[in-house]
Amino acid sequence: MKKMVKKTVFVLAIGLGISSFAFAVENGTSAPDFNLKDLSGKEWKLSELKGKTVVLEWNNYECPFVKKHYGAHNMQALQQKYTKKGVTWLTINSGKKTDSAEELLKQNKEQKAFMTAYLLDSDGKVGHMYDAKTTPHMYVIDAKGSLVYQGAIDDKATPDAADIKGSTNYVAAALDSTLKGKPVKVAFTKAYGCSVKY
Amino acid sequence: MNNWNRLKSFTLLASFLASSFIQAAESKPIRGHHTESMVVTDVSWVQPGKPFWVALRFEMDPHWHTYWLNPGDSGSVTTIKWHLPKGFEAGPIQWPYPVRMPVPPLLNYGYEGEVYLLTQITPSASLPVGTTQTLSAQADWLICKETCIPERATHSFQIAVKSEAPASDPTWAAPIKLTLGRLPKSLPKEYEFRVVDHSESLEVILSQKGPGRALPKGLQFFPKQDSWIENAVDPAVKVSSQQITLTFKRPAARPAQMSSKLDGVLVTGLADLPAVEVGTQVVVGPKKAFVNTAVPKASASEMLKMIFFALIGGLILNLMPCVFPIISIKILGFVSQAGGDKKKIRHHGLAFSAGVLISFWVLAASLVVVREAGMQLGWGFQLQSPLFLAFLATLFFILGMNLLGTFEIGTRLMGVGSGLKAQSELSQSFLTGVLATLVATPCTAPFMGAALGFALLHGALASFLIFSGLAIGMCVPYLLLSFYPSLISFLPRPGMWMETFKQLLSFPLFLTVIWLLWVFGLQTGMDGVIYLLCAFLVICFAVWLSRKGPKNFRTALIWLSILLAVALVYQGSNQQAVLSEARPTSGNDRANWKKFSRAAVDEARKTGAPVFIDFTAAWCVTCQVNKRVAFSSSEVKAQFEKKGVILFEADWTARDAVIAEELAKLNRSGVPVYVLYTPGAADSAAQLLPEILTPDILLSYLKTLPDREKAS
Repeated sequence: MKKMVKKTVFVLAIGLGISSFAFAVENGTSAPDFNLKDLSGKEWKLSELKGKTVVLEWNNYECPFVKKHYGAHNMQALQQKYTKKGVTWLTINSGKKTDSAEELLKQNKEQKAFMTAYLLDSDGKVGHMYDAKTTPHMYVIDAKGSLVYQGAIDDKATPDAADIKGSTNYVAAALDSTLKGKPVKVAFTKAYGCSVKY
Repeated sequence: MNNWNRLKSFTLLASFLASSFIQAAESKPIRGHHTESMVVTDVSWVQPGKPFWVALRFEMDPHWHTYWLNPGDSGSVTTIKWHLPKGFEAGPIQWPYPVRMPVPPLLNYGYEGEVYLLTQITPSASLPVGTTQTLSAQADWLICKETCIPERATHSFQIAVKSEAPASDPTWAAPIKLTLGRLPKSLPKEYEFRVVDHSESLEVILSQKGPGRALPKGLQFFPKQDSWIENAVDPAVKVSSQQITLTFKRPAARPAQMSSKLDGVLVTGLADLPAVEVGTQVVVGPKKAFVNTAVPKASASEMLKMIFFALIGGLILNLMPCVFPIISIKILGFVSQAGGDKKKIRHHGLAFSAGVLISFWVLAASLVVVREAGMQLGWGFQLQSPLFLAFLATLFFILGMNLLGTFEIGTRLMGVGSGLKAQSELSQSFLTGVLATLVATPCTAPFMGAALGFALLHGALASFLIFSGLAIGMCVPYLLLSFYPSLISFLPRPGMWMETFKQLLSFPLFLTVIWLLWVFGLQTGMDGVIYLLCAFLVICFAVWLSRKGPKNFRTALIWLSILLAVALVYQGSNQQAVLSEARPTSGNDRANWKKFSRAAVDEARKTGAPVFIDFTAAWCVTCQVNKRVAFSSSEVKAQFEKKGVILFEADWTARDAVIAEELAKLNRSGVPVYVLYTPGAADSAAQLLPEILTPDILLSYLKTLPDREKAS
């Protein structure tokens, strides 16, 4: 019991000390493991998803850039296409000021979203681990657990839905390469969007 | 009013309206979400061939902002799409210099309040005179506070083309001229700008190239390209008369291929040259880590948590091996006062606490001062100085002798060279508090580690609050007893056993002397220890003299002996231990541990093996205990071997700037610190183990490592 208390307090101390630093993951290195609950309370561990390609999508339905992709059904189409191909698509919401789980479930339904799970990261720890800066901010992790893409969803950094047609979708390109076992051509781009509300 | 006046006012009004209508080269303001936007010009009409300025003016609601050319970590840059009649050409947006807008943990570059985004438009020389042209612009921008709202507005205005040179627009020429002053200018020839890439940090340097213009007093750098700097982390600033260097942190995640050119804007604070346009080919330099010298703002809740930890740390301090002997003396004082006046006891309690509190404050103040002076300093520096060690050892030796009963000084000699004896015991309690602090400082108890790191990192106020918390934690038992004397009744009544108890307490003190001698010896070698022991001998002689020596010259002889002892102490401290590479730091088998250096650690990590670093010091008792309890366990050693862990020892016994810097990077200021790098982890994912280790704790960390792959 004493050891538990000491350990907990120690971890707290360390956590407080390093919570002010944002981590970042270099491409090609193993994606940091995390354990988050989805909207129905089920736990999702990244390490248990080894063997599957995983997409992490940082989300906030209030953000005009997220609305751009969901409004035009762009994000949902991507989710549907690739989950059918066996990709696990995890949408993550970091920050304390999010809607309730019921509200988010309703929004997912309204948007006809196809993500595998919508995860809540209220203390922002996972967001900091991945240095997620914007919504949307996209990450692709291959079946071996390495980070192969991080950055923007496409190359048109505007909130205008008209720009989706004719844009290059980096996530689709990364997923196509990864699923074929080929290296990803563009592994890093600057993500655009609203800031993540830690 | 009568008809004549009415006519006059009407004419006045009409002509006013007419003139403003003719001269208005501005669009109608459009009120959007939190922005009022309009397009204005600085001229009342245009002349063919003469360029003029047009501004997209934003008036933003308080706390809402729009973005610069490089919006930073999030957001979106403002764009303008011009729809111009034939003969008009528009240039790119000219951006006045932005401000930094922190949105922790991110940072944006942009504008708040009011901004004019300028565009220069050139009417062709062959434009027909006497016409009125309509110019229109579609502006797209993002306006944010916590949420963001994308906005679009289309503005158009009409302007006449005349042959004569245009007059300034009465309303807008002045603010546009002001904004023109805020546009970045080209780099003056007296300055030189260069950038050096150190892989983990980036140096942005403005230097004096020629005379005639002094360097600014300060500098801000706004990059135009991404991934060169971590926007949210403040740079380290070094200012000299010849050069200003800003050292930024480079982001770990960046594109594989980056252009070698970096452009940006320098904001100087000089009235005649507020912003400078810069650009250079980035030179690659040796890899240098980024040392975060910025003082991060701590939230109130964080501060409270840290003060709480500091309080508990202070309580635990009472149990640390190097503080305990003093505490036992304290208790002794109690026992003698137990039969006495309750109020007096309370005052003594307060005096002791005051002594501890003020000493901690003095420590905090000196740490802050020295930290500001830029010295590489850390917690526990006192025991890195041989002279201080010798002084403490000698002092404790004398105290031990006193406790043992070899000599009496009326009341207990707690004061350090004080002249106050029986007269004011309060001051003695005060000085006991001071003494307790002096010995407590190098013992970093578990909670103190993070609290201290936090305090040192967060500046003067935090340091004082944390240190106060530590002091109060230390004093609480004594204060408690002095305020609730009823608890003292649980303490035994005075009697002959007191004398025995007092004599018994000399032995922990002597044990502390031996420990101090050992640390002293590591720094000054056997020679130094011999000198010190001789000093002790002389002191014993002086004590004997005081009781059994000749009645005449007694005082003089005693003083001579004391002088001799002092001389011996000083001489001993000046000895230098012979430091060899192969010196076994604090004994037992650390043969397979390598000496710490950043380069060696990086090399080791490149091999893909796990790396373990032990930041230790001879004077750190917790470190020594851990060595004997946790590291010497055969199971731990076997696991280190099995997982192929490369072991490094960073010895901080002597003042070492390199190791102090490493500790600062880990957000620590004292030892012990135990760092484990798992294979393939990023630099920032170093695991720090608890300060008090047992074999079980070490094993639980080692179990998470993969087994060493046998070379195939």
